[in-house]
Amino acid sequence: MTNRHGLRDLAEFPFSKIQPEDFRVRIASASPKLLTRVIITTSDPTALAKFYQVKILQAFPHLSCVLCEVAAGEIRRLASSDLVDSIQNDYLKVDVGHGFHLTNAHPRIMGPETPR
Amino acid sequence: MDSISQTHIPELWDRRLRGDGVKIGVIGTGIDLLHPDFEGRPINAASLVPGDVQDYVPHETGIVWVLTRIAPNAEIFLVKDRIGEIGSLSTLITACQQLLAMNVDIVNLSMAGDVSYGIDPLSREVNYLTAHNVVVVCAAGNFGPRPRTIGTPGIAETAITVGKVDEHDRVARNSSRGPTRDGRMKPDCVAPGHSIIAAVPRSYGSRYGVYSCTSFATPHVTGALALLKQAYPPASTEELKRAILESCDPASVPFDVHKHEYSTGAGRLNASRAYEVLMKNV
Repeated sequence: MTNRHGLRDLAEFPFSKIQPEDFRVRIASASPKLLTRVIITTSDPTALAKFYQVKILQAFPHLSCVLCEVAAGEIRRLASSDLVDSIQNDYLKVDVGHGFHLTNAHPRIMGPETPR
Repeated sequence: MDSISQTHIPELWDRRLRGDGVKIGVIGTGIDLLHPDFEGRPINAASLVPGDVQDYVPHETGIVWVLTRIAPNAEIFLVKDRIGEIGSLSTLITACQQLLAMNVDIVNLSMAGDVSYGIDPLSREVNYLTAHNVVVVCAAGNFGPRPRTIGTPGIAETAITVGKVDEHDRVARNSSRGPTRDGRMKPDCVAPGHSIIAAVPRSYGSRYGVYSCTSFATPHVTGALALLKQAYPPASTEELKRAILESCDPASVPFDVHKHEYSTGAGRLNASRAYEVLMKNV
């Protein structure tokens, strides 16, 4: 998927199904063979495995999702498929807060004793 | 005033509510089970990531400690789904499913991920738990004061999403703000999350630390819900959420950059009035 200048043509890239946004950018610029884990929302996981090169690792039928290992190039194909509703990066970085420091104070001076 | 008195939780203790018979699920970074303050407490822990359940960042050890202070007799099930900030969505969903299988009543998710439209797999998992009568309480995140900064899972429609206030009921500058990208009202409420003293893993060389983030506002609401659930066990998720949101006290925003409610939600948790609202409505 490159244009006449030899650059990747992002205009042809099916963006909207791939989440989150920074993952779209990484997939668009990744080597097509790079394996990555994604959660695909699909109503038909059997057809997904039949028609695309995906390795299904785990199923979440209650969410109509499957955890897959798939190459970046295949993700681009999957994103344009009617079988696929969304493709979510399985890698998760969560904010657990950074406002922390140690103290010598004992919490009992900060409030009522918890009843037994 | 300390955070527990600020939210009127001791008035529920006066009604002999301690969380008896209530199961709370917590998903996060692990726990130091040998912390002296956890001795004799009903805490169970399992890890879905390689290694033990030990908390190597001071996070869920403190969260569980706050819960044991508020609802000392509630049974706590902690599932370690990641090491520090890095984990996977599939492990988190698996942890939610395990807690559902253990018949927990409430799940505490003190975490905030990417901003979405609330239809990502984790948000859908939260909605699934709620549909199965599990109340899910989520942190709003610490990406304020810009609007639309509430990430998954707090962005899930049925979650109770909690921002943070200081000891004067002022919304903290970095507490994430609503609305959601699709225009829904979030956060749902706020609770004390500034300068909260709680346990840290013993490996840090100190028993306690001071935390300031929406993660620590979240267990105040979770703990209050455990006391309410003990007061009226048949209460549904909707009844419990309504009781919390219809009873909040006003909170102020010192530097409002947009609509006030997108910073405060319904206001600051008032556990005592939530009890009255719950008992009046059921």
